[in-house]
Amino acid sequence: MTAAVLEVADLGKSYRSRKGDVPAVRSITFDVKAGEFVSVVGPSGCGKTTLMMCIAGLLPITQGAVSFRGTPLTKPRDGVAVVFQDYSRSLFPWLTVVKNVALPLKDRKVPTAEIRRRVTHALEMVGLGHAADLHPWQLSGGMQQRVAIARGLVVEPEVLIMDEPFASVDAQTRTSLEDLLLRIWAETGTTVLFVTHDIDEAVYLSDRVIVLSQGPSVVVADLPIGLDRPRDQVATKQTSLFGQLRGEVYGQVMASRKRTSLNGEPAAVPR
Amino acid sequence: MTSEVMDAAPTADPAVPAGAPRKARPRRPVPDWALGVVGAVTMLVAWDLAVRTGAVSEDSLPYPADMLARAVDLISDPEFLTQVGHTLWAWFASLALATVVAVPLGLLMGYFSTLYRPASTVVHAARSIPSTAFLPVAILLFGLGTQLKVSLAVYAVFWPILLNAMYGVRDAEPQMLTAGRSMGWNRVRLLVRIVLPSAAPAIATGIRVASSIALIVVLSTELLGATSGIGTVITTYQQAQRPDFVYAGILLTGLLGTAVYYLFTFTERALLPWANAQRGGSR
Amino acid sequence: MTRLLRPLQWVWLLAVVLLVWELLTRTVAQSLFIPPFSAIIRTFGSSWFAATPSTLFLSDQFREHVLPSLGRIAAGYAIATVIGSCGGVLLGVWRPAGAFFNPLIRLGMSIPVTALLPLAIVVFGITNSMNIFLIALGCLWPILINAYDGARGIDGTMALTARSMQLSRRRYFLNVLLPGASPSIVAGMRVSVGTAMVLMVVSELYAATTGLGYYLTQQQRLFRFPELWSAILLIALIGILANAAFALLERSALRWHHTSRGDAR
Repeated sequence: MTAAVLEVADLGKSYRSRKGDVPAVRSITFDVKAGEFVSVVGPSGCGKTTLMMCIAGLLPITQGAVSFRGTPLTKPRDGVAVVFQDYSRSLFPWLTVVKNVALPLKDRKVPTAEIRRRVTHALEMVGLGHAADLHPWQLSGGMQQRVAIARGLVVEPEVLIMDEPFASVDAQTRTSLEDLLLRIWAETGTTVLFVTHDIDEAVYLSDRVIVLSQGPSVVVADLPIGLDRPRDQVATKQTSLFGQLRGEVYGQVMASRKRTSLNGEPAAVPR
Repeated sequence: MTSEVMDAAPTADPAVPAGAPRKARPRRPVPDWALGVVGAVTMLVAWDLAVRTGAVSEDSLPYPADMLARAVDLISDPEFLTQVGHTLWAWFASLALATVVAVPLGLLMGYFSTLYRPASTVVHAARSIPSTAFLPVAILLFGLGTQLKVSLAVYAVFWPILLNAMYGVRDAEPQMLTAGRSMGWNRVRLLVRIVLPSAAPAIATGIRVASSIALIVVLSTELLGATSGIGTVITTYQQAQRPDFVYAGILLTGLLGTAVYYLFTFTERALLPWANAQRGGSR
Repeated sequence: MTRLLRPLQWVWLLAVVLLVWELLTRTVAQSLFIPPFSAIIRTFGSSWFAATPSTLFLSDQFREHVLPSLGRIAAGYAIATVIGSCGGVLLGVWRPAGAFFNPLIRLGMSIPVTALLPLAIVVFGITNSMNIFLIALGCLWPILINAYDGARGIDGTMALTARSMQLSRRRYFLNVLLPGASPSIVAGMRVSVGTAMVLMVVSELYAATTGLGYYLTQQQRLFRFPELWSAILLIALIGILANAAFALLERSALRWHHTSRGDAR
């Protein structure tokens, strides 16, 4: 049994306001094993982004703990990379693509030749080898998000946290990005924690789908996705299993929307 | 999404440079205004000490307490207030004169595209000359009285007001104009009902900026040789070697400038409540 | 044919204005104080230029007055830019410091710098330092405040991204904060160009022994109007050139900003 590379235990996050503490995330517990592709879905405002920021060490948590490789994670760590939703506000417009992708490697005592090699490799993995010297604003939305993914990959992370990365992209580009991501995941074996509001996408991509309740959120379901790999946009989505899983996830999200964690205990998490 | 992150209590200020040590427990920070008060007090204390210890000579820098006392003296002195009146009169006259001429002219020039570009060239050229460069000529033409101040101030503020009026007209939302035309409005109606109200915020900005510039130019002229106004009070005390009064005068000019700025800002907000929304993200 | 004439649309009004000036001052409104434009041009040539290739065709007078003025502006402006941009960014990012210095900045901002002229003379005397000090002080505030705004306005997502990459403080400052704040800083710098010109003139009118401002006063005392106006013309040209150069610089350095925002100006 592969060990868990990421452990989230009773994680809670509250914001302090004049009226007292406002909880965004009440209590989240789940594990992610090495090499898994796990999606997190839930109704709008359930704190998915807050959760990701906490797990990545970018927001201090007010309750519980996050462990990465067995040690507590309280601030950004080597081995965990983040891809944000809004590439236009995450990529630095004054840097070229190459410089953007190379940035995480600076100050890490990585020799220049190695940096160049890794950047080229990352850009080739996302299919943007030719766009190295362009600026982000010279690229389309889909290409920019690919740059952001390359930037996440260049540090060769163990865990890649992706916060609704394909939400700002049109539907057709989204499907090609999804497949690109699957190819990269298969090739690198990175663990992926993927947040999305698109249930089809979550089921299509993942090994497991975690469903959060309405905010302040808890985990209401942790569904294994038994679809065969490699997945195909047409073939996989035509299988009855896909429809069934999709329906299950959808049902959980719908149910959780009516129920917040204030009334009643969170549902038992099926494993 | 980002708002969730940004609303985090000061424990997670995204603007903190990376690598800044994170505090172990989020504690309530000192509010900004309190820090400001501490800053102001520190400044006054440092100032006082600088003079008290002789680090700065008392001839160039008075004690803050003295300066404030003299400021109070000045405000209660009717002679000083008369001078303030002179300054304000020159300021008001120049602002009014410039506005009355520049706004209609600007509207015209903005409205007729054939005039817009050539007018821009003239305006930008004239604007490059600081009005104080005309001081020597103006002194010979107008003498040292109010006319001098007004002429220079009018020159200085005429162009910003004109430009803003031109821009205001040009930036009128084309869809609004189309809507008006589709209702069968003729040119005059379009002008009065759409173009003017659209241009009003830009014109208001122009006048507000001009109000500060006019005050500065009037004050500068007074400091450089005019025969009435606050500036003359300052130079008189400078020659009499009374730095406490000089600094008090400078402080009062600063307060006057701030008062003028807020006066115009609040008037604009009251008269043109839609101004900020219309200006939106553009500067 | 019309394409050749197109640039003319920008300049015809200016040409008309100058023409009217010329006609009026030669006929109806003859005035000692305001000579015809042609006379000014003629004096302009003789005052500032000479037939000596060794000095780049610039006259001695040019070197005596224009170069010091330009030097003072350059020095004052440079000081203000460096202190203003770095200081402003630091204050914007380090929130307690920003709040602490806020009253001081507001105070400095509201006092017209010309009011400090008498004091500057007392402190520095009639020296270059006095002019540079005044110019630097006057240019400081727009740049400082704009740098402050720019730093505080750095997109939250961008800052978060930088944190997730564990960028060092130095790299964050140089590669994220400064470039991110640069559009604001440059806007402040543009405003300061005008201020620098004004303060150069003001500080030189009565408190210098060289420089264009001093030259203006000198010619005024001698009642030499063509020379006076040719100096004004030169000041105007310097201002126009400075603004144009600045606009070009801005456009190329901030290309990423304009294009990424979709400004088609």
